[in-house]
Amino acid sequence: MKFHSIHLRNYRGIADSRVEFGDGVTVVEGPNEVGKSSIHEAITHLREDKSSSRKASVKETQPVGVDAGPEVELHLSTGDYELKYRKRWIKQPFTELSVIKPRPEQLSSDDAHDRFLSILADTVDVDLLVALDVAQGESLAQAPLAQIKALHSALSESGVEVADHDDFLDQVEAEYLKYFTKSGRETGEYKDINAQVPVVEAAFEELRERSRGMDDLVDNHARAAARLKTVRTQLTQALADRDEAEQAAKAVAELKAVLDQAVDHAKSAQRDEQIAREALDRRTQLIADATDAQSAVTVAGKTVAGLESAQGDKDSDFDRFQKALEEKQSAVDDARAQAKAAAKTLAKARARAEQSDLTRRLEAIREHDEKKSRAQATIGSITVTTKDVEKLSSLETEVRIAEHAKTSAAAQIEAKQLGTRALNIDGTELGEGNSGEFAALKDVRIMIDGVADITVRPGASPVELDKALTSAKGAFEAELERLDIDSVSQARDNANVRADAEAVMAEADSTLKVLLGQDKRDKLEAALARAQQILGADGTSASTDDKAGNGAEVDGQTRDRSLSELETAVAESEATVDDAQSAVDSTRIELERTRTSRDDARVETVRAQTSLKEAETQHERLTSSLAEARKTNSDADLDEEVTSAEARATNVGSQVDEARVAYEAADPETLEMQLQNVRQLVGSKEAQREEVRQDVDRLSALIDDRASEGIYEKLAAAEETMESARRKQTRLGRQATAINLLRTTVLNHKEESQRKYVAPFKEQIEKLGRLVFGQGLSVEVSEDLEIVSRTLDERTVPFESLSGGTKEQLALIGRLAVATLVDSDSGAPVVLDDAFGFADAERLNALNVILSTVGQSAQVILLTCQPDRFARLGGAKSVSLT
Amino acid sequence: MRFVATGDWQLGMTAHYLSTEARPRFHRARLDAVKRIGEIAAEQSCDFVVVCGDVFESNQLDRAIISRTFEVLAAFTVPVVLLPGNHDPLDAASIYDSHAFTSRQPGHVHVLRDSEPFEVRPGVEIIGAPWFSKRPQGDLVAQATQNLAEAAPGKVRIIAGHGAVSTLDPDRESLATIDVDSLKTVLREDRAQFVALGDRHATYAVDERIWYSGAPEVTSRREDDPGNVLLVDIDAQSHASSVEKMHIGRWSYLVVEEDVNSDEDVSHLEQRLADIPDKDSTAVWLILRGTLSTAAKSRLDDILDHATDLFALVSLWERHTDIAVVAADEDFAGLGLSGYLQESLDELAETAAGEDLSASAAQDALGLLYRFARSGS
Repeated sequence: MKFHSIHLRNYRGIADSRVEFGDGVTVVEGPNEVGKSSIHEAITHLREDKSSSRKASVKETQPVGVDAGPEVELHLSTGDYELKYRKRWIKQPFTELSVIKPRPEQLSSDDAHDRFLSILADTVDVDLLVALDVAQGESLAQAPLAQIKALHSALSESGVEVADHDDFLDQVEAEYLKYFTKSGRETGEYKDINAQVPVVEAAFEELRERSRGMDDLVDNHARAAARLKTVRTQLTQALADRDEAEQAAKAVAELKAVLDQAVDHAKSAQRDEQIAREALDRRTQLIADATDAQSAVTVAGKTVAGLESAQGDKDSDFDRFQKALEEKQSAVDDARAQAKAAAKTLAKARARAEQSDLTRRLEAIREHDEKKSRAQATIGSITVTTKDVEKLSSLETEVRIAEHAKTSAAAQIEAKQLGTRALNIDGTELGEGNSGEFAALKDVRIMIDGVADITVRPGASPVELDKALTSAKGAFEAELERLDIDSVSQARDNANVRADAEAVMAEADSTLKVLLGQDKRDKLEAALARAQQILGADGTSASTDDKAGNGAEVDGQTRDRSLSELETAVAESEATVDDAQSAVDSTRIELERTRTSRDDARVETVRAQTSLKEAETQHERLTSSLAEARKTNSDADLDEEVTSAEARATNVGSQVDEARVAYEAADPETLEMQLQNVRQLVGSKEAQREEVRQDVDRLSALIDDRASEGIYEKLAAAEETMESARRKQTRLGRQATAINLLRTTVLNHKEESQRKYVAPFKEQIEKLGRLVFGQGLSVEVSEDLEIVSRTLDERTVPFESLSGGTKEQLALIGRLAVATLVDSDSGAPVVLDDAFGFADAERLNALNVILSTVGQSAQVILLTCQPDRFARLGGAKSVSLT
Repeated sequence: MRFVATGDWQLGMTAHYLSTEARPRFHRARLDAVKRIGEIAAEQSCDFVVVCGDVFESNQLDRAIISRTFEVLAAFTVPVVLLPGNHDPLDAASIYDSHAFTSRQPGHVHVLRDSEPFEVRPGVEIIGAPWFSKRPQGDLVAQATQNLAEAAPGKVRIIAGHGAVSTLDPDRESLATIDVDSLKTVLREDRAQFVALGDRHATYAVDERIWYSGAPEVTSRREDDPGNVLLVDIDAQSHASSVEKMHIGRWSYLVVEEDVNSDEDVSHLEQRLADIPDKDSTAVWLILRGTLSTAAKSRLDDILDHATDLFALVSLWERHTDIAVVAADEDFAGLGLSGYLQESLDELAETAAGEDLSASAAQDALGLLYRFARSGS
């Protein structure tokens, strides 16, 4: 279909206007209100509304203030027809159709209207016509292309029209939903059986394991039973072995007992032998000892004799030195007397000078001193003090104790006078019939008148006792001597007198101290005494003057000699004394030496005598012992005893050897080890038997327990359940697979055919659209030929979400694509009223290119008030509506 | 002297492959067969019945089977001698040692627990070779017979054994294989007069006087002659013997092979199934080969569904079955398929004709397509 021209009269604001359309793009421009939209409206009215129509939309086209109806004439070609179709509405309405080709026709009124619609229906798709006709403000929406047969037939040339198999699809879907959810997951029975199969398989497997476990138990039981049998056999054998070993051990024990007994016998025999031997040895020793004692006596005897003769020599030596000493001593005494005389002479000379001096001085104190002197004399005469008495008494006691001890230890002589002859013991006459006891403490002389003179010498009393006694006596006597008294009682009396004198002297002494003054009295006294002594040494009294003359005479000679001469004489005589004295001393030393030698000899003699005595005693004792022993057993008996004991020991020894050989031949150690081994074996085999028996019992119990379960039936039931479930699973699986396959196949083919069908349309949209949106453009076109989404540079956006401009552009491109696809004869013009208002300059340029392209194969009529929009549209016819 | 030789009663056996409803019948059929054996023994004036092993299917059976068995055996008028076999050996779990067995064992029922001669009737002794475990370490029958002396005239000796014989399975590595040569020697030397064997469920004569009686009721589709017992006659004096096979089984296991390439073939199979008697004690395994149109296959499926309701079992023996389904033009011609449906049909038909695994799925899908299209047209 092509529009050639349209002629409007009294239509809205248009009084009379005619527009010629080109074959391609025609741009009808004109300012607002001019009525360019009326062109679009008029074509629709002309087609749809009869001239008699009183519709509101028709009435609105009546121009205000004009008394004439709106009138439209359209010149067009469609199919083989060329027509002029004219209508006037409201006032003097009419309809005229002039068919110019192929055969001229002229129709009017409803005939014309019907004929026009008939021609239209035959030649063009009215839906297409409507779809390509875009009124002002409709450009954003997509045209409903699904119903356009022309488009369908155009598309069918390349693809196959998608058939309508909805019923079939419903059945497929219903079957599919038995097995799968819409999202493809298993469901219903199919899902259940798939879940069930592993469960029943596991149950079956568990029971099969239980059955196998039972078989295993039976196998184990068989093995354990066999083991038990073996162990029992082994145990029987072990028991027999043990009995045998025990018998052998018993035999060995008996051999051992024999051996032990023999060993005991041997020990006993050895002891006997030893005893005999020892007896013999003792006898031999005794004989030897007796012989030795005899020799010792002989030797000691000789020694004593030799010593006794030496003793005599020593005694005579001593006597000789004794005499020599006495001579020398008298020489000393003479010399000392001379020296003394010389000294006396000297002293007298000195004393005489002093005497007168001292006599005068002492005369004054003598009176007082006499008193003291007397007392002092008394004291001096009595040296015994009370303390001394006590000590003395104590010492006496000591002596008595020692004596008593010695007496007790000393030999006692008991004597009795039997006849009339006097018996005198130590000077004591016993008298007839009397008896007495005497301790032989010293030599006791026993005189039997006219018969005997016996001296009993005490033997060596115990040294300690002697020493003690001697010591005690010595101490006692030394004390008596020191005190110059005889007895203890005397000492006690003297001590009392002395005590009185001491009291007197103390009194005198204090008086003398006053008299003496600075000088010491004793010094004066001594000096005077010395002087007087010296002077009175010639035996004359010096106290009388008379005698003094005499004395002076005597001393005259002395006085004649000087003191120095006297002193020299004294020294000479003193030297003589010293010489004599040293001769005495040397002689004394020699004497002492001789005495010592003599004493030593005496000790040695006594000692030798003692030894001799002891030897004799020993000899005697041994001899008697030997004699006594020989009375019991002679030496020969003892020898015999030893010999027979040896023989017995040898005999028993050989018995021991025999018993030992027999015992060791039985190899007791090996037997013992064997016995131990076989005993342990019995023990371990018994334990093993018990263990295995328990094992067998345990297994039996387990088997009995399980046997009653009926595992076979349970297993069979489980297998049935499993098989049944598997069959069902297989069956449902096949069915599920089948429906899934069918559904997938059918849907794939349906989709594929749809895809193929819309492909040319899609391609055309993309081809045109790329001019606007670029090379990265693709679109998805639905079954209903709607643009579902646009993908640009791999970014897909649903159509509804696109911007207004893009929507408009895509929707119009869709229409233009249809126009290009539809056959130009059966197609329809694209009428766009005020389109592309949303496009920017760049897109507008691209759209101009598109329109130009489309215009080459289809008629496009653009109605616009902004002709600049299409200024760059090549090949367009421009019509200005005024 | 006459006796019944039987074996492999397999009492308690279940058949999981049968239909749920057929299984109790199958189970009961075994006891019914035993009952008939008792009747035959009485009718045929037999002296005793010897059962050569596998009296029970398993030692793991629920002991209730013993009571049911004794209930049937109680009706026997002759002694019944049972031999433990590989299914019911005298091991620690032995059913023969269970309290249920020992406490209720009828007087005329005897279990061969060792190889000592058992005098079942005066002058007739049975030498059993019972199994003591599932894996014996030697030829039990040879062991049982090695020390037998020649049977005197007037005396008859029968050997009861269980297991495979060397001539049937010479390569078998099992230690328990029964040596036929030594058995023949025993018979030739007149140390025994007959050997009754169990283990093989089909009746089979190993030798003139060595027989497998077979199971009295079928247990497997592989058995070629099940369901029999043997009536054995032995002359006590001459030791001459004769064997008569009697069929007593009620159940049959059938394998039906058919080539199905057309609707007519399907009809033929239908008729063949219909002609089988005693359907409820018959299990059928079908071996079908051929190419069927989708419509014919659809009909075949219907027929098999129907048969399943009648038989104890109708099963396609999948391993041997090979039916190809083709989308025949005439099937779909009148169904008004067009456009993408036609394309789908073409694609599925091509896949279905292929060799790979997807072929059967495609055939099934074609079946569905056929069904939906037909119901819509």
